[in-house]
Amino acid sequence: MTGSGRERLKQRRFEVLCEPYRGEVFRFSLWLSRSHQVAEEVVQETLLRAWRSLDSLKDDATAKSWLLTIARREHARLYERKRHPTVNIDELGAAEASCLAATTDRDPDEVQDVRKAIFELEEEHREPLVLQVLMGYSTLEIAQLMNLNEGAVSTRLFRARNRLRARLGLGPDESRQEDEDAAR
Amino acid sequence: MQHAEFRRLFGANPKRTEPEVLEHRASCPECAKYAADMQRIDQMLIGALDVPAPKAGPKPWEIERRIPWLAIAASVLVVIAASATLWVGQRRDALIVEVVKHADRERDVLIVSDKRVDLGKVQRTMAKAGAHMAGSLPFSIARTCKIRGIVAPHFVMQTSDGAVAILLLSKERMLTAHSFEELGYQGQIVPMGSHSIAVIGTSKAAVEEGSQLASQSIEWVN
Repeated sequence: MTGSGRERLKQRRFEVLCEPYRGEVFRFSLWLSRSHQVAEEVVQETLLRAWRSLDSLKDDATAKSWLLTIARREHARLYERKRHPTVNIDELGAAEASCLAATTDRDPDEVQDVRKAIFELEEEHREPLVLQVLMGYSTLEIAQLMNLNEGAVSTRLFRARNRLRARLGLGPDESRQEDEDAAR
Repeated sequence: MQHAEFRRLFGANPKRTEPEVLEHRASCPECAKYAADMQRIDQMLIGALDVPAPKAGPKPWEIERRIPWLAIAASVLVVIAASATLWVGQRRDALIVEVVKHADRERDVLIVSDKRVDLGKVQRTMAKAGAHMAGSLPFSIARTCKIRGIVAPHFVMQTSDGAVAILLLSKERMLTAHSFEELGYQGQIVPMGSHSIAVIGTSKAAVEEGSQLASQSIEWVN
């Protein structure tokens, strides 16, 4: 097969395996970074790295996890390189604000409140929650992606939902009570 | 099942359907309320997390093709900037050599003197280069010379540290002031808009004083 023929086959494989996840990589990166600009950079870098190492993807069924693993690494690398400041949700850029305000078929005020509450979560709580709810990952899959054990992932998810419960005014944050009891 | 265990399990995953979990939920109204809160939160999360994403973007192979061109373009810009800096530096250095050689040829007038040129002659000499005096300076000599074939009024000014030569360079535009030492002389090229003046003497303090006074008092018509 000629060089250009191989290139076209590789492009076709990329289009089938990676391109469909562009949106999910963006959403994952956005919730991770809380920055529209960083999320776009992460998507571009992730897809570029995936393209360059496409031959190393042995099992096509794992393409999504593979991309998210690359995106996590790129996110960390970008933050290390640029030292992005912590996001102050009261001073969000226009892109982030438009994300928070983006309408869905749900109650826009409720959606905006929930998005703000998610932005306020600590990263260690936000990330597994996004992976579970948005990406549909099991606790085991999240543990593998984040290099944690399943117990640690469950604890983070339990805390994340309880923080949201309190911030959305639905009830007390029972994980804090548990943390305080454990500390005593 | 204990309440705390149920809440930990359900809080971590509100989709749990193990029989013992469902049994506890059915038997404990408080835990049932907690479970309902968790499920409601997940419903809200599903809508909230689904933000609009860019539908398409550049293909990675397109970006890869662009990278060498970007690198080449960046290299070309660096070479152009370096060449421009070198050219400007060489041109300035050549000018310095010319003005110093000129001052050296006329060193017989670069002396401390009580003689003063009247303001009328000073203004007439300056006008030949399109400049005039806004004040009065202690000039002992005012001549009309040429540098690079262009009329360059040549003055000798008396400062508290000795005499300095001042040459008006109407066609020499400099971006920044530049001090130099050449053939045993001290000097400065001082930019004045699209013109410059060269101040040359044997003492650094005299050159600085001369530069300061001259740049404050000389004005260019254009």
